[in-house]
Amino acid sequence: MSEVIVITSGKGGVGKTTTSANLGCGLAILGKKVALVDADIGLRNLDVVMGLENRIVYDLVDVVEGNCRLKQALIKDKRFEGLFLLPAAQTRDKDAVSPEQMQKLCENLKEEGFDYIIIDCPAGIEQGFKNAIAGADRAIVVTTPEVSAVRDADRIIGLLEANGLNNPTLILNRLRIDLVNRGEMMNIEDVTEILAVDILGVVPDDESIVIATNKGEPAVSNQESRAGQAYRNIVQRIMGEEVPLMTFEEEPESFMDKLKKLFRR
Amino acid sequence: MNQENYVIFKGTKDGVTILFQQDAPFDVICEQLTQKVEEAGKFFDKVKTSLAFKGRVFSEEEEEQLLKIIAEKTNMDITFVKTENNELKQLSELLEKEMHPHNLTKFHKGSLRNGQKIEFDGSVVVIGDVNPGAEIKATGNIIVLGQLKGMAHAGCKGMTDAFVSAVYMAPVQLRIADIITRFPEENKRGPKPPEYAFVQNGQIFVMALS
Repeated sequence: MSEVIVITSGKGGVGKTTTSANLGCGLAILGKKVALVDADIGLRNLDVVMGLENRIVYDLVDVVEGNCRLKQALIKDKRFEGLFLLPAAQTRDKDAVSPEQMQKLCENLKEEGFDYIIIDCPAGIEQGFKNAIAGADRAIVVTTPEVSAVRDADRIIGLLEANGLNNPTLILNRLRIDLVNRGEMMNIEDVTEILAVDILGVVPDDESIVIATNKGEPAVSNQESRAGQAYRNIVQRIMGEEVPLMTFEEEPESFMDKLKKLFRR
Repeated sequence: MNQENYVIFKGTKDGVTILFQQDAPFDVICEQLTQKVEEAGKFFDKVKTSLAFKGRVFSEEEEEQLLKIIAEKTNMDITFVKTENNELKQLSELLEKEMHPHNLTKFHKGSLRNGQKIEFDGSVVVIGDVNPGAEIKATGNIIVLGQLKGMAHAGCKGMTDAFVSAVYMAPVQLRIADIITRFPEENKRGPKPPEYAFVQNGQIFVMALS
């Protein structure tokens, strides 16, 4: 049974690519055969986040146009058994591919025996979005707890439903628990009340993501990272296991923090 | 039976039609009807049908009397009585009333999300939320059985007695006819009862429904 999952958000910069990379790696760590597809033609990033940029020979457009075979374009990730990346073309734009071609591509990937095919959707609701969702079986919407991101997520969920992708699930990314506790950031309930979809996971705001992204090593493999733990939980939920949502506590203040606070008064 | 047949029963695809002789005396008609109904009593047993009187105009009292005979003698379940005198007039009146814009209603089940829009010549009822960025435009009234957080425009072709009602009213903007108002921010927070908005003296007022 293979499944095509599209990771989308509407708004840019909320963590679609990071989420795609982490979920792909997480599934591969658990022994699944995974294909990561970068549908962001012209603005590709997934290869950089994965640290595989220097190994690109062929890309998605080459496959669709028949310049190479699918297998030639798939880059094998040497760190994780069973993880492959199909990079986007950088010198073309979204119109280089049609939704029908994407559908065909997803079917071909399914035939290759992948358990999960994860599509990293570009921001926006135009051609790139339509391409990315064309072949998907289910959708995961990523949002941050910001009003603008939640608005766009709402719009995207409406469009997904209009295209037959019902019941998308939600990942709430970059939650800052200190701000939530002070009532200065939307909490999980605020977001789910507006969007009215099932929540797949909550990822706390974490420095380790930035560090990992810049190094090209997804945080999911870092056992000490809290965001990595959140992604590991999400991966298990994707595979159908029930894992309770992480509980969030503010990190205990260090001695220096307390001292600083004391002087500020 | 040398008597003339003043009352004739006819089955049509719409139900049962009773044809009455135009110039027969009323008491004879009653007599014949009673007799016929008694004869056919079992035939009409527990039948659910509509009834039409044709061939003659009765006064209200006469009509009542005829219906009473039928009700007493049979177990017919009459859903609707159509008579000669009121038929056309009532029908056209009814149609006119029905066709009046705010009497046509569109029911939308499910929430309206950002970017989705309902435009309707009539009233709109949404069973669900209207999220920010969604729009409802209706020539009649708007009722939201949920949270109204998008934009609602009632009476958009100038009907100033249109209203907007919501279980939780917190729209970005509210429009009735050609009056536009921003919804006060302080009224968008915390729990509150269902409300409705209407126009009075050229201004939109919002009142609690209680």
